[in-house]
Parts: sequence; C-alpha cells; structure tokens
Amino acid sequence: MIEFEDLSFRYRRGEGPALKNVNLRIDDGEFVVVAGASRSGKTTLCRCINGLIPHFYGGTMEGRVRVQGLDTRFTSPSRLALKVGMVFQDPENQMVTTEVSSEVAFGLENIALPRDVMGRRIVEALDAVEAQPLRYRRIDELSGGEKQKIALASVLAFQPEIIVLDEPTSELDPVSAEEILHILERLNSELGLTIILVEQRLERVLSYADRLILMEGGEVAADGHPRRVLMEAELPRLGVRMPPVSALTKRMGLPIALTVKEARLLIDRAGVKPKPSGNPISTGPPGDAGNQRRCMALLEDVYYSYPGGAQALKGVSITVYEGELLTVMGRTGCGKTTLLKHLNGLLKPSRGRVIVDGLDTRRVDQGTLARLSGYLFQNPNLHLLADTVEEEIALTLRSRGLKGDELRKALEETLERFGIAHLRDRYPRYLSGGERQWIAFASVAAGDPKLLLLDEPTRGMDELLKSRLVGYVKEFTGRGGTAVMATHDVELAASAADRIILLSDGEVVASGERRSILSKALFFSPQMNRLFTSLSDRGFPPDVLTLDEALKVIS
Amino acid sequence: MENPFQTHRILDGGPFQGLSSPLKVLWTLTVVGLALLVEDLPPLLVMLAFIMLDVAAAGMTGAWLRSMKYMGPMLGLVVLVNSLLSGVGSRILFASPWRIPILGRLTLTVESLTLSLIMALRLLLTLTAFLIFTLASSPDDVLSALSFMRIPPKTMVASYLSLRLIPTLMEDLKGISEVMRSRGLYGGGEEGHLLERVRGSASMIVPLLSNSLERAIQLAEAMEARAFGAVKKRSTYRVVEWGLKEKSYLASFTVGGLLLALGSHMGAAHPGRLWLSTAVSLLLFIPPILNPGWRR
Repeated sequence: MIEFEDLSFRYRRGEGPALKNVNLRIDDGEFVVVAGASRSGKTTLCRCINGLIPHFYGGTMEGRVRVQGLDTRFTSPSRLALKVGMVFQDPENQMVTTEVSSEVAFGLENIALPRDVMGRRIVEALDAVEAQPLRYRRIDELSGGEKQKIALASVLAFQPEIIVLDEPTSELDPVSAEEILHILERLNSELGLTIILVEQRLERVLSYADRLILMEGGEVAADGHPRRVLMEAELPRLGVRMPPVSALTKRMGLPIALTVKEARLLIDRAGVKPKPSGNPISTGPPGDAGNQRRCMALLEDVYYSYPGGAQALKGVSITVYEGELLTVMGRTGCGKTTLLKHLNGLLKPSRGRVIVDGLDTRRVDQGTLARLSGYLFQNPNLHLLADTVEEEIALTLRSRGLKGDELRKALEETLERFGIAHLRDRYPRYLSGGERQWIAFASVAAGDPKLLLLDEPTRGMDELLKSRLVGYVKEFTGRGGTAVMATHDVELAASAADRIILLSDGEVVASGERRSILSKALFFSPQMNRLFTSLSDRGFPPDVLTLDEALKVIS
Repeated sequence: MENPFQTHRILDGGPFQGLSSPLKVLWTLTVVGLALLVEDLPPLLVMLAFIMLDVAAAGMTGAWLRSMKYMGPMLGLVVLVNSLLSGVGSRILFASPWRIPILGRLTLTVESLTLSLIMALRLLLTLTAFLIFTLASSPDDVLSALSFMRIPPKTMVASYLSLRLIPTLMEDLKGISEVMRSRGLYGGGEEGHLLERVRGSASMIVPLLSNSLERAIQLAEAMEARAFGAVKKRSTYRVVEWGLKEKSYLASFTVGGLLLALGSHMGAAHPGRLWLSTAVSLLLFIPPILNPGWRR
C-alpha cells in the first residue's frame, strides 16, 4: 500500500511547489493511471514513491509518503528499489550497459545477489516481458519498444510489488505501445503487481485501469474510477483529452464507455441508428490523383543508405502539394525521419532526386534550404541552443537577416503569437518536456518558412499544447504554407492530416487521403474508426475517424 | 563520413577478441607501458611490426587504415615539431638560413630526427593498442574486467560510463550540428569558411555540455532507482575466465615486458639488443594471435 499524507514538495530551484497537500492511498494490486497537463506534478508524484524525492533531488518536503509501511524520508531509494521499480520515459537514458542480459543483471549486481539467483531472475524477468529472444542482443540494436521492454525487465528482476512508469509509451509507435501496455495488464492481473502509470493518451490505457488520478498544479484534481472521473472532471481545462469513444457516449447521454467494445454495446442497447441521409462525411481530396495544387516538394525514386548501415529508403516517390499537411506514419525505424531530412537537404539521396520548391537538393547549399524550410527535430533538447527563450527565437530571426528594430518587433510579435512572452527570460531546459517542444516549434515557425517539417512534434505535449500546435499548423497550411509531419499519434493524424503516407521498412506501403489510410487499419486507426468499423453491419459508415464526424452520422 | 567513435562497433571473430576481458586490459596496459619505457628506435620498430600482426589477426587492418586518417596528421605533427624544434644533436642534416621569431633557426639533426621518430612510434603503438582493445571489447567487457580487478564500484562504473557514453556524445554532436544547419546557423560547424566553421563548432559546445549533464542526471536517477550504491561489494553476473591459459598469458606478458624493458637499457651498440626485443615481442604479441580454443 502507498500512502501520501499531506505531501507538499518544492524543488530546490522551483518557482513554486511541485506538489501541494497531496493525500492519496493506493492499495496493493491496483492499476492506477495518472494524467494531467505539463507541470501538473505527475512525474514528481512518481519520484516520491521510490524515494528519489527527497533523497536524490533534495528540495523541501512536508508531509510524508509510506510505501509498504516504509517512510520514504528515512528509507533510501536503493532499499525502496526492492519494493518499487521505476521505468522512465526515455528508454535511452536509463540503459546503463550495452547488452541485454548485463542490463537486467545491473540492478541485481547492485544488491549483491549470487550469480545463480541472478541467472534465474534474468530469465524470469525477460520471460515476463516476452523478451527472452533478446537476451544476448546488444542494446543499441534494439527498437524503442524493445528497449522499453528491457527497462521493464530490469526492474521486474528485483521482484518488486509496485511498478511506477512515467509515460513509458510516449516515444513508441502504436504497435510497440500496445505490447508494453498488454504486458503491464498481465503483470497486474496475473501477478497482482500494483501499477502506477503516467500516460497522456487515455484511450490507450483506460481499459486496463482501476483508477484514474488527474493532477493540476501539483494537486489531485480528480481521483476515482475512470468512468466517474471522465463523467465529472473538466478534462479540457486539465489538459487531458477524453478518449474519443468516451466523449461520444458522454455526448449521446449514455453511460461513459472506456473501450470500443463497451461503446458498441451501449450504442446497440440504446438502439441508436445511423442518420437516414446517407454518409454525410466529406471525403476530401482523393490523394495524389486529381490534385490540382502546385507541387511544393517531390521525391522521385529515392534510395538512401546510412554509411555502413542498411537501406533506410527504398525507391520512395512522393509529391507534397502546396497548402497541405502531409502526415508520414509507420513503426519506429521505418524511415520517417530519414524522409524528412531529405526534404531539407540534411541528407542527399544515394539514388533518385529530391526537389523542394523547384530546387534540386543536391545542387543547392544547406543555407538556401534552411531559409526555405523549418525543421522541428524529434528531440527538443538538441534543438534548444540558447540560454533564454527569447534568445532562442532571436537566433532564428537573425538567421533570416533581421536586425535592430525590425528584429525586436518580430521577436515581440512571435513571443505573443506563441503565448510564450511570460517565459522569455527562462532557461529553456528548465521547462517541462512539452513546453520545450513548444519553444522549439516556435523557434522553427518564427522563420516563417514555406515548408514546415515536423518530426514527432507533439512528443511530451499535453492536450492544451497539442491543440495549439494543430491550430497553428492548420492556420499555416490555410494561408498557403506546406507541412510534412512524422507522427505515431493516430488520433492527431485522424483529426489534422490532409493526406497520409504509411512507410514500412523504407518503402511507401500506402498513400492517400487520410480516410482511406486510417479506416479499417489494425493498429494505425483511431479509436473512433475501430468503433464504427465494428458498427458497419448496423448501417453506420465504416470510415468515421473523429468525434465530430461520429456525431454527424448518428441520428 | 564514417566516424570510428560513432558506435561501439565490435569486430567479432578474431583470436584477440576471444581473450578474457582482464587479459585484454592487461595486454593493452603492458603495450602502452612498454611503448613509454623503451627509448630506442629498433625495439620500437620490432614492436610495431609485431603489433601489426595482431591487427591483421584480429581482422582490424581496414579499421586501422581508416583510423590513420585521424592518427596520421597527429603523427606527422609530432615528427615535425620534435625534429625541427627539439634542438638536440650535433650531426646536422639541415639548417634554415633564416631565423623565425621566438623559435630561432630551424635545425634538423640525425638525433632530433631519431627522437621524433621514437616519439611518433610510441604514440602509434599506444593508439594501435587502444584501437585493438576498443574494437575487441564492449564496455561490458571493461566493466567485468574492472570488477575482476577489484576496482571500487563507484570508480569502476564512472570509468565504464565515460567509455559507454562516447557514442551517445557523438550522436548528440551530430544532432546539434544538424539542428544548426537546418536553422541556418554557422553551417553547423561543417559548412562555410574557416571562421564560420570555428564559430559553428564553438557554439555547439554549450548545448552539447547541457545535454550531457542532463543525460548524466537522468542516468544517475535510473541507477539510483536500481539500487546502485546499496552495497559496498557488488556481485558480478558475467563469468570472467581466469584459468591456466589466462595465467600463462599473464606470465608471458610480464616476462616479455620485463625483458624488453631491460633490453632497452643494454645500450644502443649492444649486438644482442635487436634479437632480444624480437624474442620478447614474440612473448607479448604472438600469444593473442594463437589463443588456443578461442573459437569455442
């Protein structure tokens, strides 16, 4: 059992308390999902459970946390590690060794277990996460999902009673995320482990959860069974997106559904019928064929191999039209980033050619392409170069040749437009992950490029920032700009993309209008589409993607 | 451009790679130690000839040649500076007719040329030994070797991580350079004229350090959460082989090392010196090639 008693905490350099008067009791065997906006205190809450707060972070702590009877103020994290395992967001930064079995053994060596016991625990832990075949693999050869499985195995080897996971699937593609969540569900239901999972995309996890805790400004804003919390809490204000099927059943006045199956049963039982006037959903542009708009970028039979590595792109041919948002999807390592890097000339094709705004990328210098396109990298930490938010934006503006009053005016205008004027003097790296990503995005968009290239732009963002980003991109394409976005976020693609390209192993396996790609897909389909595909035999159109569309087709 | 430090590329499948990890560490340290101790040109040349046999046997000739792209200019500079500026020797081969401010007249003598070649050979042997070691060992090998050698856990893990994180650092550097190029800033240290490249490279240092510090904190947090530092004496999962074969190898290295060090003090004119250095090089450099049973 975990008990938070009047817990307040302030980081050493924190401007305000990160947690305020938190009172919680989490019973053994519960599956708890924690959600909330950026800086709401989710990660701090996790760090309190395994003793990293106060022992590793210092700061000022009032109240107390007891884990299985141990007061974390007087118990070291290394002792708590036997009770609580913690998996972090970024799989890269929690791997200590270079080989899978050594990695799982690392923690066990730290508590000086004998070799034969370690051997047994390693095998069991790898079995529990279905990663036994990876046992002798090198970690740098693993995919993001596989690395996260190994991180989970590394804490399971301690045989803990509680596992705390801080957004473990935020960097994973839908298939890998599903695998990790399935494993957590099994650990909870079959082994009785307590699972505390921080997650922003509730539609992925609520089917497993016994309880949902929503955080706001360091306080517990809502706590209870997910159905009750979704019914009562003001999710948009808390920066949390309600799962689409839950939002649909709520809007229809039905009990809240947590899964596609529940929503289908509720709709069936309520006798809801489709609107008689046929399918009112607009089908949008039909894809490449018949598109009359100007070509902004073109990839013609592009092949690319990294030095000493496998082929990352194999005969990719794509046209990007002016004024559209083209979304590139596919599993981790399928070539999405490589494709984006070709569009701003960071990579040149080994074979084939890439034309951007009429320029062959092999024949123009990087500076010309940099002025033409803005590239948002996946990792905002690499993107942020300056000491203040203001200077970060000014760097881009200066590179566009602005000086003096012109620069100051453009700077003020950009800070206002992106709502970051209040952060102007802050050191970007002290901001939350989502805020860093937003600042990085603002620094790219500030240059007013013709072509925006966004690599996983919503990584770490809460719902509020995500909708601001989508709003900006829509406005940008609305006034003639072109955007290409690589993402794993199926719901984002369903609501924002004009066209979608699905990559697999460096090849384009599907391309077309978003509806044709996202309908009836197994993993790359939004939750709403899964519901309506299963309702198609009742006369509902099977290609519904979003809540708004669903409300249009229901009578 | 391929960067040899980009990943921990292990060249599997050679006899050297099959050595037990503490033995690899000891061998490397012995070669480096001798390269620093030996003061004459002929024994160093013999050592170089033999270590190249190790390079070939380990299947690392290509990697060694590629590494010369980085080592070559460094060696050239060592030869140039030592031969022209050391000011030793009396048998003049060349003297510049003009004087350079501060440095004076440049003079090349037989002795200064020999000294510069000795310095370059020492450096080359050291770098080659480390190249063999790096390409034949994973950081996990280093960790087990240090653990076997009873190095205190915190020192051991700190040394290990400094090696393990080099490729990550290089990845970060590449990423920051790409960001700068895509934002049109100083050509990312890779493009533009010399001054622009210097400014670009300099402006990458702060973000690189910030990233490294942040990663270090995250890694420390993850290690703490996995009980690092819980006990004074950690156990080890990897089995480090240390049987009769390893002990005889160690004896061979030690005897070889001692003899070569003694031989180097025989004096330059001693007729047996070259034979001695050849014999002891056999003891030092041939066992890693033979390594019976490495294919197991």
